[in-house]
Amino acid sequence: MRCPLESDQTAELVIAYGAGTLDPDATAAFERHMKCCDACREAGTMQRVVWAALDQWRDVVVSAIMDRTRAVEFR
Amino acid sequence: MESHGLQAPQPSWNARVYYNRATGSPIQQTHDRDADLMLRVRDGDQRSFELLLEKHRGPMIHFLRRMVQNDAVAEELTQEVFLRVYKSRENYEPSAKFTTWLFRIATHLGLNWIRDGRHEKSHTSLDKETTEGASRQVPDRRRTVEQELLYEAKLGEVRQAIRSLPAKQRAAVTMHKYEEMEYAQIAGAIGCSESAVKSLLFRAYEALRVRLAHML
Repeated sequence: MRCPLESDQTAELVIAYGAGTLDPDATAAFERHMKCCDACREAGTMQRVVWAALDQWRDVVVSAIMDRTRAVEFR
Repeated sequence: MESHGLQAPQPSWNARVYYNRATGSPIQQTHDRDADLMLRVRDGDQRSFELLLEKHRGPMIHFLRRMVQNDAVAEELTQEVFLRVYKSRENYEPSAKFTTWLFRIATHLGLNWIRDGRHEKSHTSLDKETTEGASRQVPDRRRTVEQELLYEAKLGEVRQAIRSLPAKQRAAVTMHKYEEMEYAQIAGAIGCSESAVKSLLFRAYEALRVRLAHML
């Protein structure tokens, strides 16, 4: 596998790997490559860490303020 | 399936033909129910607007909340988004997916708000709200107090990391990660090419990888 960090597919590949949306074959190929490429191993591993960390920020309860204001604004 | 307790009408989506206001030619079926609802709004159907509002205001608040990191401002801007949608109903043409159009309006408002530096004058950032215990993030009752404190600390770091991104990168990450939008949709919302979005996202995630590396 050509190093993705040296090609145009870098962004998509690393981001999709982090999000777990790569298909199984592409995931396996990238993981094989990660074993012998420090830069990709770091990028791929850390992208998964970032993806999981961002999950900490869950959606919030929508404020009742919107319910009050919308009744006035759009009539 | 009923949504949020609303008694949603069951329109026959193929039953009506809409016309381009400028050319008078019939509009091809959009396969976008929201766009169809918006066309009904254009024709004066208030109920369709309420359905759109009900469906999209939650995601819109979540998106803007992450963009501007301030609850009150996010709600104000969300209100402004829907006000703009409503005001432009008469000229609406479904040239893009409805949600892309909606996020384009929201992104524009969010970026302007950040660009104007109004966030620097703001007194109620999410961090402050959290510190004062007024955050609307729902506590998970399964967690112990210690786990909740640890969670709040991690959440604060994530917010700070996202806030540290340049505004467009912040918008792109928010749409990509939290709204699960495709590159093409994000490009439509931000007003740039798909390859520019990929580049924005790569740089943004690269910065986040550095900032959040210790969370490994």
